[in-house]
Amino acid sequence: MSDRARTTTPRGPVFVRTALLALCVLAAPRAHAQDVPRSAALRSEIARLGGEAAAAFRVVDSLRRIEAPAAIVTAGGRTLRVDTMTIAATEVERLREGFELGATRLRERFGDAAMLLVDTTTWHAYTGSYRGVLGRSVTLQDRTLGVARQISLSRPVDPERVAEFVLDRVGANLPQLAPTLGRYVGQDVSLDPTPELFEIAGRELALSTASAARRCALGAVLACRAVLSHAAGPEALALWYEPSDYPVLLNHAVSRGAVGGADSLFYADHDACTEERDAAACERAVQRVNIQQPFSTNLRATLVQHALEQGGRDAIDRLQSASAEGTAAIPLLAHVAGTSEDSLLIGWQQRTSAALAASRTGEAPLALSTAFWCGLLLVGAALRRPA
Amino acid sequence: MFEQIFRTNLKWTRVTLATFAVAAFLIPVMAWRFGSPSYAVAAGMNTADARFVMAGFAPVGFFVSVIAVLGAFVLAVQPWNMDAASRHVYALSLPVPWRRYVAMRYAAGALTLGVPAVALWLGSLLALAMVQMPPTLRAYPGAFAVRFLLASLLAYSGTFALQYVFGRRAAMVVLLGLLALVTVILGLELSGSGARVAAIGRFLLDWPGPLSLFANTWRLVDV
Repeated sequence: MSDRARTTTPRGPVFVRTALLALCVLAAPRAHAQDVPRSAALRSEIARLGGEAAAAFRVVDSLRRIEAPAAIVTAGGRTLRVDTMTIAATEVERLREGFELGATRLRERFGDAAMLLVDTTTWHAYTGSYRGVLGRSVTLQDRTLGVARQISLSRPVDPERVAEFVLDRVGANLPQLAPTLGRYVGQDVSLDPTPELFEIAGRELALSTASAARRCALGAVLACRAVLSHAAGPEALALWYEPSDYPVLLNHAVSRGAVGGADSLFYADHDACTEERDAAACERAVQRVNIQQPFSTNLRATLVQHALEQGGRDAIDRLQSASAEGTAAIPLLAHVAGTSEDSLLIGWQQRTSAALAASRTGEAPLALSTAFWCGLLLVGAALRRPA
Repeated sequence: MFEQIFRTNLKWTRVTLATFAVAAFLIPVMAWRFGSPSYAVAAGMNTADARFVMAGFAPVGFFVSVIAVLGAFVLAVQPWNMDAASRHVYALSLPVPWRRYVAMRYAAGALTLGVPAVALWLGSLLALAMVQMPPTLRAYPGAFAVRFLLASLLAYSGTFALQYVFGRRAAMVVLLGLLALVTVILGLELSGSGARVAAIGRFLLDWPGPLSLFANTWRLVDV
């Protein structure tokens, strides 16, 4: 059966609705002429018939949905399962166009090897109903790894948004190519990183309670390496914090309940540390704290994104060839980027700083636009002269 | 003639102008002085902590933007009310075209907006002098005051235009405009055309949209 045939509206319910409409039109003048009880009875009958017709329509719809499996639409050699029962052929075409666009961009950025990422993703498009009450949106899902991630697309579907979704979602398959990367990042990595992600990373570094992160924000590469490394326990304490950070660290640990066996001795040290800045008390108290990763996974995700972009068309090939178990994440990413570890970290730090700077809209453009709007308003104000 | 109009304008609005200038001067200092210390002590922070400094100055942007809009609104309405009370007889009796008179009246009011902006700049400098700035943060007192001035100008221009075009019906027109906007947005959302609502939002809030000034958080101190 062709796509067009599948998307045709069932004739039965339409016929029933048309007949009902005709009945209403014919019945209306007659009902008007009747006495009030007769008119009310007719209205009630029409409402009842309308309800029954709608119920029948829903049953036919659901039966057809079961009979007609989702169509497989080919886009750029990839497959997309589309529920063509409820999605019009024109929207399916837009979805296909979006997929083509996404695949093309992926190939341009990361070469043919990146197509592996798309192939291992299960895509499904169906009609969503929560976006509007009268209109219905198209929902596009990535059902890889048993977890559905989706976007809701308003009609008409924008192929650009479909392409963005494809680029955003295929990065979830990177751990299949390099398990080290999956363990290192701890979240899905978008292959279409926005400057906002790097801005958030830069802000997180500058405002962190950990000295290492703040030093990294100021450009210290060794500190950046520490921030982007995994650590636990006493090693983490030494790696990320300085004694001047201990009072804040202690307060955060207490509020999060991240203290092992907090007793009166601990709280005495805690108070002496936070209130009197007693260095010895701080030292004793922090030993009882379960040090947890103070940085979000977004920091490491942006490093992966930066490395992949640096590596360009050879990045995925390099990732596949060098992803032997036991390879540490940062050396692996440097290999993917085709550069040294220090260069990779410096580039990443500079990119976060640049994203932060770019996020601040300068006053000159704002002054220009304000002058324009004020001028427009002044011209409008001068048009009308009081009588 | 402009000098006379400016003097009259200043005479009519001097109390309001002084009130808003004092408020603009005090907001940064008050926010820092009364908004932060208890939070800092509770969190065991010192005043060189970046998050503490950011938290201390966080409310400044909101209050300053409110003052910018409110002050400009009052400063635009007051002179028009004075003119309207005499049915614009003075303005119409002047030997200048109406357009020129409106331009001079606008310029006279717009010039006075510089007073609260300068007061805010001085207040910001004073507040920043009380802070031990962490190395990862930077202060933007000049840019902050410029943004305040631009927002004041925009609000002033909008109110000025509404008053001079619609006269005493200005408030009704604004209400009807808001009602129409809400109706259109609701209609578009209900019909599943959320993309069009987003497009309207982008037109208003993205640069060079009329409200792009208010799209970003105003920060006196930032990373």
